Amino acid sequence: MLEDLINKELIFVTDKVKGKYELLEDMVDRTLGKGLIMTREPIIHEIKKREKLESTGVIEGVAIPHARTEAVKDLILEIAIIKKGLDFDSLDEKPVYIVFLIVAPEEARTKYIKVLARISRMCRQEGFRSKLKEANSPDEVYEIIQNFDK
Amino acid sequence: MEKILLYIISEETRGSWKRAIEISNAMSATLFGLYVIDEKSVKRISKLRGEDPLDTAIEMEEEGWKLLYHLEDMAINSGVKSKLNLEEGDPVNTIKRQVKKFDIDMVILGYKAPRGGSRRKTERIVDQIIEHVPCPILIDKEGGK
Repeated sequence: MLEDLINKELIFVTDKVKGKYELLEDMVDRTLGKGLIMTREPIIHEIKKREKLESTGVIEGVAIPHARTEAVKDLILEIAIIKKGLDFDSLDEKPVYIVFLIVAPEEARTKYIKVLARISRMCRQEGFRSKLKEANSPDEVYEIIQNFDK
Repeated sequence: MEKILLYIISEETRGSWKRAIEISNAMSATLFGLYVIDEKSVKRISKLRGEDPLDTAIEMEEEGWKLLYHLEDMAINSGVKSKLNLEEGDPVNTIKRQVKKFDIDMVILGYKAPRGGSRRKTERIVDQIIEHVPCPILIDKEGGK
C-alpha cells in the first residue's frame, strides 16, 4: 500500500513557490538530515535532466517528477500540494497543484513501477485530485491517500 | 511535425518504439507514449481467471508503466523529449481523444500479427484506428526492415 511508503514529514502544503525547479530543489532539501539520501546534488541533477526531456502522467493538475539514482538507499516518495497552482510546463498549459516526487535507486525498479501505477490510478479519479487540492495539512493529505489507496 | 503519439500495445512491438524515437529525433518532435488499459480486456481476463476486475486492472496498469518506463529510458538516451501517459478505457476512443487534446501530428502503431483468436480483435482495433483517428498514421510492422 502507498500509505506504508509515505512519511508525513515529506508531505507539505504551500502557496509560496517561485517556480518548478525551485520547488523540486526544495523537495529534495526537505529529505536532508533524515538519513534518506547520501548527497543532494546528483539527485537534483537527475531530476532536472529528466524534467527537461520527459514528463510522466499527463493528468490534469498533477506532476510526477522522478529520478533514479544511487544517491538514495531506498525509494523516497514526497508530496507537495501547491494551493495557488504552479506552471510546470504542462502541455495543456494548466497549472499543477499536486506534485508526487519519486526518487529511487536502480534496484528498486519494480517497487517504483508499483508506486507509479498506484499513484497514477488514484490521480485519474477526479475526486482524489480535488480533495488533495483542498487539503490544508500533511495530516489531511495522508488521510485522503489512506482513503483512496484501497 | 511537432507531436508524435506512439500507441504501445505490448512488449512484442518494441521495434516500433525505436522507430518512433528515430522519427521524433529527426523531426525534433515530442514523443507521446500512450498505453491503454482496455476495459474489455480487463473484463475478459478477470472472468477467465475468476478474479476481481480491479486486481486485473492493477496488474495491467503495472505492466503498462513497465513498458512506458522502458520507452522513457530509450527516449532520454536518444535526447528525445517525451510525455508518458496511461489511460483506462477503449483504445480507439482514447487515441482519438488524445490526438485532439494534444493536437498530435502523427500516430505510430506497432503491429505484429497475432496468432489464433486474438488476431481478428487486433485487426479490428487497427482498422478502427485507421478509420477514426484524424491524423496520419504509421503502422510499423514488426519484423519489417
